[in-house]
Amino acid sequence: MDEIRFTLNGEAVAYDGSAADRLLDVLRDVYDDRSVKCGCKEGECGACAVLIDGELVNSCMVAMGAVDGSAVVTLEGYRETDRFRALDKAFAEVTAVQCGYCIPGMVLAAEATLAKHPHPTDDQIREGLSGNLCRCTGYNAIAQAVANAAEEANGLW
Amino acid sequence: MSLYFHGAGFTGTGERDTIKATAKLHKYPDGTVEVLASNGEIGQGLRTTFPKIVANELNIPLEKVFYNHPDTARVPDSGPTVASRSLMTVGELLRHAAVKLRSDWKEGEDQVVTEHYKQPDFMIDFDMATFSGDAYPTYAWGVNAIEVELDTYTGLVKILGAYGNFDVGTPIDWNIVMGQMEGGFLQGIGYASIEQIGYDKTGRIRNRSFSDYLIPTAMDVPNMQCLLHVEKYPYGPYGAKGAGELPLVGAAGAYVEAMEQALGNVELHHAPFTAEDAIAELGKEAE
Repeated sequence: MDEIRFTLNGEAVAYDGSAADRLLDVLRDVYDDRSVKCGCKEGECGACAVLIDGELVNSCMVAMGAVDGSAVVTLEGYRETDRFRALDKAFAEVTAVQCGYCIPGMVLAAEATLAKHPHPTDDQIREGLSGNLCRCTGYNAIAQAVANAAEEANGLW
Repeated sequence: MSLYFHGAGFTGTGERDTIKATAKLHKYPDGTVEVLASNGEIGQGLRTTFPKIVANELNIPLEKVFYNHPDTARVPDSGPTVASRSLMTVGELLRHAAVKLRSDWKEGEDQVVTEHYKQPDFMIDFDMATFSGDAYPTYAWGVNAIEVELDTYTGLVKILGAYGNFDVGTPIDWNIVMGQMEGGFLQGIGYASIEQIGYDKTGRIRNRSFSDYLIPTAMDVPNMQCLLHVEKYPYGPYGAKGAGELPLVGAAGAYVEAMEQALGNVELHHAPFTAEDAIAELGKEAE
């Protein structure tokens, strides 16, 4: 059987397990990317969201076979970027993080939103975050943080 | 609209007779101070707010005070992380401990200060047989108003605005308190409108997942505005009262009353009041 080749956070990797394995489990258990959280395992909560070729995808809904040839980014890779640093600062300034469980997925959702809309409206931000459930914040602070990051970004997006 | 309150801390003499909270401060020779208490950080911000109280009272930089995630092998029993009590009750114990430590501060020495809960003098013991006396030392208060637009064809509701004014006493950290208010308020709106729990004949809950137990997303209440009204409680740290539970409890009253008006001044008596309930009510009107 051929290996499944893809890039994980910019690094070429080859996975030799089953093509039916779940990307979520492989990211956590094989590659130790523990920012990827398992909230519901049915694509509803967004805690396991990653970027696949720049698109926000719930990794619990992806079989490894579908990853072949694509570029996967988790928070472990994204956190090395200037865009992450802008979001990190913006989230901290408005206290947008409470328990933190949703935050890795939320930050990647913010990235996917801002990549599409560098100068987003509140509606665009909220739509971009709407696949990621948060039970702590009521979303106001998170939406505000994304808006602030966009405003202070200086052409990062 | 709704106007409501929520008791802060344990009921009646619970803090004095059952919980008997103890909290400690440990000053190390290098001048850093560790908070020792048993209250968990679950996103409500105690690892920030406890040190803020202690640093303020000791007049030292916040960076000099720290609160690790509690390990019960090391920390005293300051009671559970429940009942909107941690900041008000344990925070005040820590403030008292900091006052003691400040007056007894010995440069370069290792010092431990312990503080035990004392019930405020003004409280009349609560009698569980007759339900008389002071049920709580103080109350947090809230006013909520919710504006809805009802689609009379589908029963679906658009929440145009949700407004909350909350009195939880002095906010020790404005961002943290606002996060508690907004988060609790949205949970309450979810409970009021969509978070239907279904049971089968044996009482087993039928909802099994986020696919059939819906909670609000970022798009459901885009216009939610919260304010703080401050009535200080003299026995809480700098006037702080319980905050955790308050913002949840008033949303259903405000939402269901808004639905009563939207449906033409009918009387409704349950929450959640869902789209299906609205359709049933519209059906009655049609008959």
